[in-house]
Amino acid sequence: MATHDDRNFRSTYYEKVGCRSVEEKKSLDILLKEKPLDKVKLKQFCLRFSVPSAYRNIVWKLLLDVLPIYVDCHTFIMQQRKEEYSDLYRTLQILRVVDPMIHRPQSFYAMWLLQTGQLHFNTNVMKEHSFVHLVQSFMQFFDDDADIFWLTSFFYNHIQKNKSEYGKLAECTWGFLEREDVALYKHLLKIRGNGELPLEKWFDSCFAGVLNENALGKIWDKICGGSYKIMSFLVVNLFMNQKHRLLKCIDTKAVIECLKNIPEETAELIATKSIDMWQQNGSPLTIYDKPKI
Amino acid sequence: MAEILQQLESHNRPIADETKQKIHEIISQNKDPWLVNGLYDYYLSTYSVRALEILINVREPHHIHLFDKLLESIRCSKTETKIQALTLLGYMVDKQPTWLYKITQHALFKEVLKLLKQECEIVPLLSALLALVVLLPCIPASMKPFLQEVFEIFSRLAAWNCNTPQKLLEDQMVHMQVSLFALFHRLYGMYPCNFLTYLRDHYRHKDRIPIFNHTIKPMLQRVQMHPLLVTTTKDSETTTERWMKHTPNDVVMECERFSVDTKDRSLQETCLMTTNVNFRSRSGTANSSIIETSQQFLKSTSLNTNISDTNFFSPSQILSCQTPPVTETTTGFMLSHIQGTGQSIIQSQEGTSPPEAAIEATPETTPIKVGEDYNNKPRPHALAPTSPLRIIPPGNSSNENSVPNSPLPIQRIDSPVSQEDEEVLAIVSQSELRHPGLRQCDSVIQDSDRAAEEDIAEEHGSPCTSGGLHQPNIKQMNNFRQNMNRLRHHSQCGSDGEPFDLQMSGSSSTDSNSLPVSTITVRRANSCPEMKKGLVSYNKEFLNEKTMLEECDDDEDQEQERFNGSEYVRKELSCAETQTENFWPMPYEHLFLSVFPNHDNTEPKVTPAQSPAPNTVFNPSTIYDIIEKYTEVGVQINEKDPIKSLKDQVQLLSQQLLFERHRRETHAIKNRTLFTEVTVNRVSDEKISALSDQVKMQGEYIETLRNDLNICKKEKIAIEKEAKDDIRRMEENYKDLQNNFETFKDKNHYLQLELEAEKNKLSDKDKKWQIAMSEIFDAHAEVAVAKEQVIKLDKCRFELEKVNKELLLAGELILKYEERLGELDVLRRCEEEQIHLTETYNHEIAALQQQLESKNLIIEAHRSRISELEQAMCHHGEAEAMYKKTFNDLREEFHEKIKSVESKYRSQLSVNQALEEKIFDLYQQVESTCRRGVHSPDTSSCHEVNATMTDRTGTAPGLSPHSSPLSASLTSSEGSMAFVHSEMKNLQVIMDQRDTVTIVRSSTIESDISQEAHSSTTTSPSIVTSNKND
Repeated sequence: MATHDDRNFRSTYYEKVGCRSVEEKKSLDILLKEKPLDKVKLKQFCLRFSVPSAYRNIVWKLLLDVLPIYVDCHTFIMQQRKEEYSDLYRTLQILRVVDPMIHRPQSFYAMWLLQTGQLHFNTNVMKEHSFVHLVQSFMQFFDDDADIFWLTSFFYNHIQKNKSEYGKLAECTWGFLEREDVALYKHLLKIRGNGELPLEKWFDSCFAGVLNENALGKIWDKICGGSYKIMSFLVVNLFMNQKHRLLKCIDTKAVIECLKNIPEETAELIATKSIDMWQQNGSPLTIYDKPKI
Repeated sequence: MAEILQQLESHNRPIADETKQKIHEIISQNKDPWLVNGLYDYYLSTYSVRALEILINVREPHHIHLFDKLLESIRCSKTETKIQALTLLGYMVDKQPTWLYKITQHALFKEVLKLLKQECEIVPLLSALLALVVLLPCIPASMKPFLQEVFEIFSRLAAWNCNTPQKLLEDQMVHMQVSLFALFHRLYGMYPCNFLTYLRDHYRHKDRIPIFNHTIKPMLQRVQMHPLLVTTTKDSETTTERWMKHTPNDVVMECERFSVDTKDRSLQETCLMTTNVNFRSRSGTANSSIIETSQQFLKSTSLNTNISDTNFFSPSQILSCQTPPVTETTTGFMLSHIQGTGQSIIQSQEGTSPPEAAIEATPETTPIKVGEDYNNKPRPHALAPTSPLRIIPPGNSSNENSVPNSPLPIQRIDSPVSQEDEEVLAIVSQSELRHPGLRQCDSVIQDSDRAAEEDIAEEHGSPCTSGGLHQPNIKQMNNFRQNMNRLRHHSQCGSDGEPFDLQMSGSSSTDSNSLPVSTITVRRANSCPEMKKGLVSYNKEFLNEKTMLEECDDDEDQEQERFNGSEYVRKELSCAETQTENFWPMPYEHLFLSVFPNHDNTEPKVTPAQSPAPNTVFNPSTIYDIIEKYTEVGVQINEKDPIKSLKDQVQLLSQQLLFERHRRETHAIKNRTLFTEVTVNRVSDEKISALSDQVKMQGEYIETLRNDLNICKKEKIAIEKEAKDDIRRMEENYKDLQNNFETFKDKNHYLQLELEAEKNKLSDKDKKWQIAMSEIFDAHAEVAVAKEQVIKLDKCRFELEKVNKELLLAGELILKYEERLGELDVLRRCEEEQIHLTETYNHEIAALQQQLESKNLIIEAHRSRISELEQAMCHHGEAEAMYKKTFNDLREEFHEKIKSVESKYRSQLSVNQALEEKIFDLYQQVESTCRRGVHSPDTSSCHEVNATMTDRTGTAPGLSPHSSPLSASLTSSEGSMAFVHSEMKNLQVIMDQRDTVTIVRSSTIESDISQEAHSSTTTSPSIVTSNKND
């Protein structure tokens, strides 16, 4: 907020009243009119606010390096991306890896494999992969296949940078849960949840397929902004939200089952709650960030 | 009850007392009236004295019953009960119980007054009257409403004979008179204004004038002027304030004071005398002479008192019916002198003196009155009152003689005189002894007053004499006086020789008196029972009254006591009076008893009853004799109704007696108070004497001071003499000195003359000197002028020299100036040159300035140019920066573009790879299918080797090792494949070329690339060619 110079008293007023979106949209417009675009400011914006869905496409593209910060070359680059996508897709058709019967996520997955040179003739495209989950989620956000493919692939690359930290992130999450809700933590310990729950898998797919797309959008805004620690807060809030049901679960399967069926509203509630909590704890980006008090 | 009453009447005294006590207790415990009523009835029936006593002493709430009873019996028609009730009333009044004052609120009092107004019986009348007289001082304040009634009673009684048809007997008349006189005294003493106004009003009528003349006037003559007549009015007299501080005794005394009897005065005098004497003696100061005399006085007085105690009181009583105690003292006093004489006689003679003394005593009192009478009027009788001592007529004169005697001895106590007196007295006594019944003589002597009154009455009230209403009164009075005297003689000296002698001897011979007294006692003892037989009631009363006598069986003791008392008195004068008082009650009763028979027998004897009797010596024996005489006389006179008259007499006497006793007691009380006053006086006298001693001391001191003064005077005189001598000497000196002074004066004169002459000379010389001085002064002035002139001269000379020098210098200067004038022309040329030079220089300066300005302008221009250039520089810089930025941006953009293209290319490569793999896979499949028919699958390996060989020979060395075999295989296998292979080669070339192509051309390359991309496989050969052409 402090970064926006031309904000007047009205903006603060709006903020106080609670209609953030108006002000956010305005500020985002201003940000996007800059030449060249300031990536750092955009990141800050994402961390602070949830990006409106209309801008989500361009913002995420910019942040995930699908598009450069220079607006002039956007059309060309997108042309190239689309061509590349179509090439990849045609190749796969030729190779008969992809047929009309196959699902698009799988086809995207195959394309990604092809692009990264991992596609071999004996590669099973149908096997479950976090990329597929991501594609499925992105498909709910956007319509254009090229966009979906490129965003997914860059997003995946973005996530993969922090993969080495997931173990620590999980530990941190459990510690945080213990601090917030001892009873629940003990219960989960009892059912050995800390060992058996697929936290790393969730982290890997950024909860794609676990939560509803609206909730995911908010969370992913933060992830795009550079913070993956948000996910630990998300986990804790998820547990706490489903506390009553979780306490009834006897083993981890039941827990996973239970968590899979979360209604849309609840998911959104969890997302906002966890964002609030994350912001209260000082908006840490990584696990090394100490909460600023 | 009967028993109690019996006990009450018992002869045993203690028992009687006890029963009395008992009855009192019963009464006090019981509020019912029955006991009082019963006792009263009992009294009425038995005349019991003790019952009477109890009734009198009854306590507060019962008095009303008593009053009621009394009222009842007074109203009763029976005279006997009336009298009894009145007697009781009399006793009650005499006793003065605390509730007595309430009688005025009771009907009883009114009843009594009514009785007094209506009663014709003499006995109840007199009883009531006397009771009233006694009662008056007790209730002075509450009397006001009754006063008029009392006055009326008085007037009624005064006009008794006029009003009542029944004529009184002579003796009764006497009673009447006495009582009336008593009433008169009270009324006059207490309410003078009221009384006198009443009298004035009442006796204004002509028909009452005789009564006034005969009855009232004599009484008025016997009283002094009352001072209250002047100071108070009718109303203020009766107010309660006036009586507030007065006790009944005081009232009585006050009333008595207004009687004209000289005894009062004499009493006072004596008192004064005695007290004075005493104090002087006590003081014991230097006034020796006084002491001596006083001592003599003392002795005499003491004797007198003693005698008075014992023997001589009766006469006084006889004299003044009203004031017995006063008379007593007076007599005592009078006697004292005689006694003094008596003493001397005793020394010289033996036992003969006492009777004389006794006789003396009796007359003494009378003389005073006689004296008074004399003062009032010279009497025809006047049996040598003036010649007291020498002229001694028998009987009658004796009294008179004695009178003058008494005054004399008071003043001078000379033995010779006393001797004379003795003789006289002796004769008198003898005469008396000889004629025991010498009443006439006595009466003659003593009548003085009454006789005079009588005379006056006769003179005035000649018309009344026929009526005789009052005359009898006066006459009776006179008679009554005489009788009294007579009785007194009897009582005191004893009518008979024996007792008298005995007594006298006893009394006179103070030291030795035992024997005669004993005889007396015996007689008396005898007499008493007889008396009792005769008169029970009286006896009882008598007994009660004089306890002393009754208690002591023997007269001896009493006598002795008396004498002891007398001795005692001698020693201590102060006590004397009190002692006498102690003795009084008894004699009173005796006298009373003794009088009683006399009275009965003979009319005039009534009076003695009144004299309350210091006559302790009085013997029953005498009474006895008197009774005998009385019977004789009574038989002679009262033949009509002897018993009744006797009874009346008795009752009257009793009443009278009661009254007199009361009076005496009041006097006794008064005496006591007086005595206390006397003692106080004595104390003050002592003080006075002490003070006088002090005075004397002071006097001595003054004397010494005087002596000192004398000495001082002498010294002073001596000093004065010396001073005078000195003065004389001084004067002489002075004269000498004056002479010297004169001579010196002359000398001085001469000298002064000389001095003047000298002075004149001196003045002349002075003048000369002054002239000389003036001359000198002038000379000095001239010298000064000359000096000045010299100085001026010097100055002028000096100036002249100076001026000369200056002249020289000025000449030189002139010479020099002339030289300079010659040089002036040369100087003019130089100036012109200078002017020219300056002009040229000015021109040069102007030119230079112009040059400077032009240069400045040029500089300005250059500066502006520089700034402009700088601005341009800035613009250029900015532009350059812009360009740089844009360039950078562009480069970045292109970099991005290239990146995207590269990624596209990589993906293309990977696509190719995938395709190649596919192809290879397909080839294998084809070969396998062929070999199944022709070739063995082993040949494929050969192909591969070939492929690799071709690859090496190919122009595309940058191909990846993977692609080389593929391309080789491709080129070898199919044409289409070969085409692709060539295309790939072209691409390789392009890539290589691109590295070397300049940036400027990049745009064209870009377009080419885009074309290639568009043309794809179909256009690939053309592209290759074009590339080769380039």
